[in-house]
Amino acid sequence: MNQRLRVARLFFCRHLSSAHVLGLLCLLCAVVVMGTLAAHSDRTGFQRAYARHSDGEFVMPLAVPNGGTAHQIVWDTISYRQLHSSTALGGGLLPMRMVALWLAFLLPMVGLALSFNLVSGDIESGVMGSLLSLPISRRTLGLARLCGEGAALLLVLCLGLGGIALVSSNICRVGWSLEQLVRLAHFLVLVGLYTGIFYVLGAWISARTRSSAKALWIACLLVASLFLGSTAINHAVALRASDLGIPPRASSEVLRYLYRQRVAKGIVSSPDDLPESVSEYFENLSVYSQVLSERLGARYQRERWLAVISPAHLFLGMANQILQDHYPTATRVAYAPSRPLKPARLSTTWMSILPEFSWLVILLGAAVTAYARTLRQLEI
Amino acid sequence: MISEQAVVVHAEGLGKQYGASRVVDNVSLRVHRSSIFGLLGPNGAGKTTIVKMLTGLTRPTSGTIRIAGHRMTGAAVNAKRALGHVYSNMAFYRHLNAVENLRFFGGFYRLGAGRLAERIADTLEFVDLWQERKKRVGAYSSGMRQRLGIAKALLHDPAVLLFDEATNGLDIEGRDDICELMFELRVRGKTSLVTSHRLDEIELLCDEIGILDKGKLIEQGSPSEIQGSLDGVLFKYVVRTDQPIDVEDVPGIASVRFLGQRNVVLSGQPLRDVLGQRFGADSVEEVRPTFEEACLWILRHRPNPQ
Repeated sequence: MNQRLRVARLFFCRHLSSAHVLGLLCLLCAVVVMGTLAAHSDRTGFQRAYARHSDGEFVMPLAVPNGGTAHQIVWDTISYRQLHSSTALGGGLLPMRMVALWLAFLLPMVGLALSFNLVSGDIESGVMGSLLSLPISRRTLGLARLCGEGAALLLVLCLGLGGIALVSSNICRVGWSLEQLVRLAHFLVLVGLYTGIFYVLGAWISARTRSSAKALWIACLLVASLFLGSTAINHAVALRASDLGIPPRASSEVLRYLYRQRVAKGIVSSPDDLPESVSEYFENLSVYSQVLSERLGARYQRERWLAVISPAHLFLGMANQILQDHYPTATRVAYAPSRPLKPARLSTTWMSILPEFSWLVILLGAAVTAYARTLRQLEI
Repeated sequence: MISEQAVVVHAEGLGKQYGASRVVDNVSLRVHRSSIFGLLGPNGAGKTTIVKMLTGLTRPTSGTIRIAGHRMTGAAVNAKRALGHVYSNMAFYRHLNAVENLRFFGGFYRLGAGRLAERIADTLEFVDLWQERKKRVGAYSSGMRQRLGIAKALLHDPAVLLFDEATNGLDIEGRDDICELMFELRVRGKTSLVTSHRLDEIELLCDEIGILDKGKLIEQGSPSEIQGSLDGVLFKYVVRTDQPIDVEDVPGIASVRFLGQRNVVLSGQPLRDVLGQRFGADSVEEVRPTFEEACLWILRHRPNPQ
């Protein structure tokens, strides 16, 4: 064990000084800073709107009610408010939620890009000859290398995502509660695990093909299939959107009122001041949102199996659960912005995503085993 | 009589098969302490495969290997500790400098930080790279990389050094540098096994030589023994004449090289009288075949043992 740690430390130190890792750090920092700046921009926009009324009062939904069907309006309203309300209230996880969407595809690319030539690159450059003639077993060499370089990668991910998220959120005054910090730490664990799978997978492909060019092609195919597969699944799922029920229909009078308010950036100080038809519409919308929330939750449970075949869905599903416990609170947040958010307890969140988490661990274990076996049989 | 303890590299019945192709076939080698053993052979003879088996890069299909008394099986940690490996086009991490590279590779030998730093300084001095130690290895010439390879191989002070075509691709100066270092190592009591297809280099360096052909060891001995083994078998004549001799003209000639004013004739039978009658007795001179000619003769004419 000591020897493995020692060897892992050697690879860790060497890998930290490589240009790839430093480049990755810059990339992640840029992604997080962009996410935070976007959140900051939205937040200041909302702050202006909130500043015009006292806390606890009803706030007019800001979605633009022009064009499209009522269904789309509801969706826009819910998602818009749900997405932005936490930032408006000073929540720090919003940038991470926005970033999570990019990371679902970026992390596999990062993992594969850093490992597609892990073995083949060394074989091609000739360094593998020196490594394999070192007085350690191939198992130790392979696993310690994965651990050492993987730890360097994890450090960079934590610095690039966690560290920069904290720094840039503070600069942009997007606050963090203790609960959110703990959730951020859990999110980073998920990021590490998710990236680790693709990192080891890339290393295995590299050892199997023994050619960086071939490994790169396979890695590109993997990323493409990840993206195309996920898009295809999204389309297939969207086609079955009718199971979410029919939303309340907005009359032309309601639409006209909402549009006028939007143009005038009008704020209504109390729901009592709303015209009766609009009040009724919002009442119906609230009822529908409750139904929608339950159905979304049920749909999430029903479609969990997607995670088995689509890593991007797996990651996003888990990230959403960890970062905001998405489904149970989605619609409530939209219509009760001044009420403090009470996300599900972390233990409950983890229990709910345990199957997906176990699946990730199994995938990682399988990839490590395949890699170790291939390395043991490697001859140069 | 050399004792068994003096044998540092001992390979017995070594074989390697890739699918239906047998690359190394029943090769046995003994390399004695403080000597330089050369493995000679044309491309594809199996030299590099043997070195790879000796260093543990490839597992033999059959046979056993002992390095400094340790068996080369499994992880072979002790056997590998006794080895230093220098191969053609040595590769290092290009973004690191010489010291950082040596510190990385030396870290696997449990030398301790102080001892490792000392060894790095010693070996870099030995290969004359101390002045260049802070330069990125990516900016090194091939000769400098090979010298750094020797420094890397010497870091842990191994009993045996394997040079696998270590001078390939180097210019004359680079080759001379490497050969000088090999000599120096021998003076310091190191045992070396050298593979090369450069016959002059092997003759110059080695105490003992093994000639490989198609995976089999067809001849083994010192350079003079190998030359001597062809006494009465291979004949060489220098015929002074302005005209090139046609092989077909004189029966028994194996090869002729025309060098302007003279022809160099090699034959498997005595031809002095025949050549004397044809070109004049004074024009024909019998000389001893060179080591290079002897090796080439062995490779071309000695039947490969089945």
